[in-house]
Amino acid sequence: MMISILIPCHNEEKTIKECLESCLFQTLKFDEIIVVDDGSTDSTPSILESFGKKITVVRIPKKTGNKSFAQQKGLKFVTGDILVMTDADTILHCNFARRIALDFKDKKTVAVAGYVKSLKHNWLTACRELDYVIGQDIYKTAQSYIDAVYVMPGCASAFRTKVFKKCITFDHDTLTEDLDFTYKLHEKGLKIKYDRKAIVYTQDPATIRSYVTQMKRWYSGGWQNLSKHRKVILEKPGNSLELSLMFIEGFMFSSLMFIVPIINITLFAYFMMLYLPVLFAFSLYGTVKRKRLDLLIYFPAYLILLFLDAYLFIRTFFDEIVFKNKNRKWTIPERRDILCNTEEDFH
Amino acid sequence: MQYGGGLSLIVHLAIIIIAKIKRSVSKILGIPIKIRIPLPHPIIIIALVFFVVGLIGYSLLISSASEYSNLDYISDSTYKCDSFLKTNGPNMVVLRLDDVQAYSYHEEVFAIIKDSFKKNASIVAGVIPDKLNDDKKLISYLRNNNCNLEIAIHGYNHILTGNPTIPEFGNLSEDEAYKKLILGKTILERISKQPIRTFIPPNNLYSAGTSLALKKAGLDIISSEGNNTFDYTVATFDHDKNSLTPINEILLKCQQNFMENKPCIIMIHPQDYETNGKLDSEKYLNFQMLIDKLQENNASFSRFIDIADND
Repeated sequence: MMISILIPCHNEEKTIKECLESCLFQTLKFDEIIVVDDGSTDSTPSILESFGKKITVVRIPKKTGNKSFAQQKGLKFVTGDILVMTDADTILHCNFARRIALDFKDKKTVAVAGYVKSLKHNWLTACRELDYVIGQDIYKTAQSYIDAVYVMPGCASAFRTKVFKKCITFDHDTLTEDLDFTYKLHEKGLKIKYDRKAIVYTQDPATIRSYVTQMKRWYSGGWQNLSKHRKVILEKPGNSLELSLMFIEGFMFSSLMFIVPIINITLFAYFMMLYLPVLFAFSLYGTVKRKRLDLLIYFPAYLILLFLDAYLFIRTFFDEIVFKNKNRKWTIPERRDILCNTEEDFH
Repeated sequence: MQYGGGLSLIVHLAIIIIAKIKRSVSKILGIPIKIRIPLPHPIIIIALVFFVVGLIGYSLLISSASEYSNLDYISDSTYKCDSFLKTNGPNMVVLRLDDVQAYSYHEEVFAIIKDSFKKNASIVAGVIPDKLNDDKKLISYLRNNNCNLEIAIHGYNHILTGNPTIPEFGNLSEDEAYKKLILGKTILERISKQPIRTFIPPNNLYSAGTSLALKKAGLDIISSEGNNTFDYTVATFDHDKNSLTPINEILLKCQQNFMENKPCIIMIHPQDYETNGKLDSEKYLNFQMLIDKLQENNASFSRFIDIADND
């Protein structure tokens, strides 16, 4: 079984070296590492050159402007049986490829969703890590028990190449192509395996501006895909449960976050006081599990982000669903150097 | 948000717990059990989610609006009432409104206070402190009307005990009574933001021990039953005849007190003006007419605390 990995990149000089090194230093080697250089104008091309024949570089002279276009170009060069997709700001755990190979031993498995950890940086990345803990250790784990994994992370997903080429096309009509792939797999009734041991480390936004940009893209993509694949809600009970909880409850919860304090601030304070211990318990769990004290230190900041998320969730609903102002703007996230002090975690 | 709200969390945790239990049972029994959780038809799921989420949202909104809301808070902090109190003069009348309590007779209590104030008549509210802290509406109302309203402690919970039944303070020792009085007084002082000095014993009865406890608790005005200055003169409801006391009868008894230069204390219960849990407008008309008649008879409305201070 040949395993290929596809990495699209655009101006990734700060992270691409570490990303590629993590791909090369795997306990089970990737048979093919394909990097699509989407018109980089920084030192990314020379960094890629330094890896010589260890990687295959596909060059696109002019920036395509969207990750999925670059992925589509790179897909033509993939010859492996298994296609792993990741991002240039992501570092793979040394056992990542081995776990993927193990997961695909099950003939029924068509896709594997990996486990994402956020690289430590500041309070915002600590909150994101807490979000990942809740999202992956509870929500995604439960989703895997009812065959309804909501999303295969764009930086940690793997597919059977044949199935991917045959059934999953790049439509470029939503902002979250990973979610689009997941919906397509559900539509075709194909099995997605969630592997908590197939770990990757990714860079998350470290400033409010980039956080807002990313959340807007995620939520817009969420509404776009829900609207595009609405039939899937009625096809499988697991998906019905997940999507209705996520969108109906999510919408109500977000709305009440603003309505209740306007009507009754005291009652809202009571609710927050009830919510705080729950959040504290999760951050404590995350701290122990991840061995990261920052999750505990910054957990109250998560409440602030909750308001921001609620606002963006409602706003994108109105933009995408009510006013049909489809957001197609793909923004390139800010990158920062990957610090080596977390290296021990990767191995 | 990305993951919904509390309901999603509960549902997902439940799924994990069920799956873990299944796995454990499978291990213990050594029989392979399918870990996948069976779910009902998608339509049923969506309908259920809609229903539960809708119910939660609706109850939240209702409770936000009905419990001490921001508007109540603003009106509480900005409210200033004009005092129209008379502290001396002839024909003094005290309207003693008993059984003001949490979550009961609000419509009647609010109507009596509002209409009395409209006619420049002050009121003494005999408030039952038990559970009062939870009733933000009543707290807000009492607080907003405090400058023409005297709050008196009307027992602690007003519950009859024993067989045959004894009123709450009918048989208490000094210590027992003191504990109840001081607790009730603290609650009332906190919500009314005024010192509480008056005690109206439930069922107008109290023990010798309570008498001693009242002094210790700083409650120096007692309005009970008998011929003491603050004891009630007449009630708006005649329990012997099981009907409202005729206005003329009340006026007559008041006149007798006026002639003796004593205030006329009229005992009112909100339940006298309700039928099937609603304010009975026909019965309530009787109260409104009573106030009018008292005014025609040159009555000066006052409170216990003002009469006591004037004496």
